[in-house]
Amino acid sequence: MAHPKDRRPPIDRREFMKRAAATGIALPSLAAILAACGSSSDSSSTAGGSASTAGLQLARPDNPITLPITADNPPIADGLPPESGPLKIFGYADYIWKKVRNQFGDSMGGVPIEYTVFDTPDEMVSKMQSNGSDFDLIVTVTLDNIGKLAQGALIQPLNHSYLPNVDSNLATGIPDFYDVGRAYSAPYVIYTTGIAWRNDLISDDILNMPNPYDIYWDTAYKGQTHLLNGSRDLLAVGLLRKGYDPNESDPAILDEVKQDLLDGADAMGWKYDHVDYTELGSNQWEVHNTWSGQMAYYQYYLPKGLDITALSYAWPPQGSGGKKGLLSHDLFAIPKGAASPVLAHEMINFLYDPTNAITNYSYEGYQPTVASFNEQSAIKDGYLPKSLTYTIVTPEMIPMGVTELELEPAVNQLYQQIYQEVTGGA
Amino acid sequence: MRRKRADGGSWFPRWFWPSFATPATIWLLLFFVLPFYVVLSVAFGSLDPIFLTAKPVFNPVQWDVTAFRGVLDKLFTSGTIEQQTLLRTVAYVGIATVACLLIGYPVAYFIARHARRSKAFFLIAFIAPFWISYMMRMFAWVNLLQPDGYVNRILQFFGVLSEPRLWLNGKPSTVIFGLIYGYVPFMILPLFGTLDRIERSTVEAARDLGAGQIRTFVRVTLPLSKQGILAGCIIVALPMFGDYFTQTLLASTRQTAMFGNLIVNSIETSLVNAGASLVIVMLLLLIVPMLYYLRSTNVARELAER
Repeated sequence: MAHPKDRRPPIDRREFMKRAAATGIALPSLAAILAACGSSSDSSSTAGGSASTAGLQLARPDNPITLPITADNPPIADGLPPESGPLKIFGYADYIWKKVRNQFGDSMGGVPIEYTVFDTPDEMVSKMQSNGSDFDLIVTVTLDNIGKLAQGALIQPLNHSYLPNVDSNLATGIPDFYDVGRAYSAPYVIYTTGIAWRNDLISDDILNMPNPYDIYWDTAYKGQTHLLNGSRDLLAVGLLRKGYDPNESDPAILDEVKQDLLDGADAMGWKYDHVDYTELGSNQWEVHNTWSGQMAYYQYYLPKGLDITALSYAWPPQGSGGKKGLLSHDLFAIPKGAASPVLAHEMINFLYDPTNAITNYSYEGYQPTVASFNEQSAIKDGYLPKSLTYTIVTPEMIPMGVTELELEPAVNQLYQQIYQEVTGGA
Repeated sequence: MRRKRADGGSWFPRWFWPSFATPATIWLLLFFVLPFYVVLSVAFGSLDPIFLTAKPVFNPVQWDVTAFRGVLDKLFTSGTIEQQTLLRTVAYVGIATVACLLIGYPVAYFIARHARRSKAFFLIAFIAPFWISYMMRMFAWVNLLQPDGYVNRILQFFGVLSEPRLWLNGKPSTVIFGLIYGYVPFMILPLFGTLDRIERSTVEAARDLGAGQIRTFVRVTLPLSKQGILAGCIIVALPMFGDYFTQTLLASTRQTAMFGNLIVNSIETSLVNAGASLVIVMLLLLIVPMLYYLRSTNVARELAER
């Protein structure tokens, strides 16, 4: 072994700087070299996939889809006894009240309930692909994912013989064009996406503005306007403001909307999040794009000295401007290969009991899709402040709403690219 | 094969001392090399055509460089969000690192040279707040910096501000402040270690030879603490570069997004191949200061051995 002093001397500072500079120059060249080495496929990142997407059917109200039930993924047989558990639920944080979960466990003879949290639908889909069978019940699947999960055989068909409450108590008017006959899914909660604002700080009659979405671009509220952090919800704001469908796929229209959103992001300094209720206590916003279900939380997060009547909410279709607005519902689904599918069915059925549904609502805040629920009972029982009555979805509102639906994968990726450009990843 | 120690002590097999590195080697293989290979496999892999989730390709022969090439192109294209975010992150990290040094050096100097028997007390006093989790401390700042929070109230009380300043509405200064606050103890500790080891006699010799206090500091103390400065800067700058949480909590706007935010946003969506490519780019960029530090450390050690 060479003596340390005989080894190659370390590079001096000047040499180091020269090499670092050379590295900086070499990196762009590396891009060119890689370009030469790269595959000859389309250079857009949408070309990453290799399998065909031809089999994917996109459900639309005018193109209802009956999701196929295949021999290798049948529903469970009738009349099976409930498993001993545990029941493993995979859901948004606190999307089913712990008390209600425990009540269900007790009603099934002390079955333990395990609750694992996901933060975004994308995260849910990703985990379903890698280890979906680790769970028994998903709470929830959004409408734009149910078709993919069913056609990709990641969820199993429901056996409605275990779901008498669903069939008898489901609220009227909730569409099933994305899963005709509710073969794979059952609705859980229903909500609108609208504009929440502090009426003690903003005097505008936002609901009756010619275009209520303009409030997000009003520089009087620069630095005080927050939007929801997700590609679909952000793009929907831009699309609806311009009068387009929230499922638009025309690249030219999407580019027009992107420019509009970039202008807004630069002029307004938008922040992006979905924790409007926790930010309420620290007075962080004056205008917030939000879901109606969140509004019920507000009463528990009010800053000192602020009354709940200082909060308003507008769902644009109800205003004089006649703009479209988002209205959607979330779904239950049971993963294929679930260890306790009977318990999962029983849990869905349990939550369709009107008493259990309202108990869950009293904590969870999102409106259950049971027929007996109405705003009068929610107010009378003290679960919803009277000033927030307009956050309740009534059967008459359902036809007025538009829904974020499944997109072609390439279009979906374009939405996500635009989202990243507008938010900068923030 | 056994050999005798040069000092005539106990006999050990040749592999005895090197074997002590085995746990660390296994750890690195399992928790760095293997995960990094997965990152490479994602960056050069593909997407599930329906779910748009990552499909890692583990065979290098089948690697597709499209996403990586796209990221490099964007990084070297003026005006892209990737380039803007990278430059912004370099600026934030540079400013915050210098500020950490300017704050940390006097603190470390004071504790090492003047605290005497109270060294432990001062060290604990400076470090104790940082035993609380980073997330909780940032949450605390969200409350302190809100429009009617204590920061605005105090500044208004002393007449510094005439009206509340909206610190949390996408201000670069707030993000940089958050980075400084979050990482400054990691600067103090290595600086203290280095300054504490400087022989008092060396400093006294400079004074005996006629150097004043400032000259002694500039010509003796500062050069001798160079390794601590470098170590502190590296320890602080590297995690800052990948930090995304500070920006998310204290700003969360397009104008303040950092490189870490871009990576997180990418890997949570169908841009996952690009996200993994950004991780590789970040690693390549961070290797440069790391190599400089290692080189500098080697030089210092060899000088000390002469």
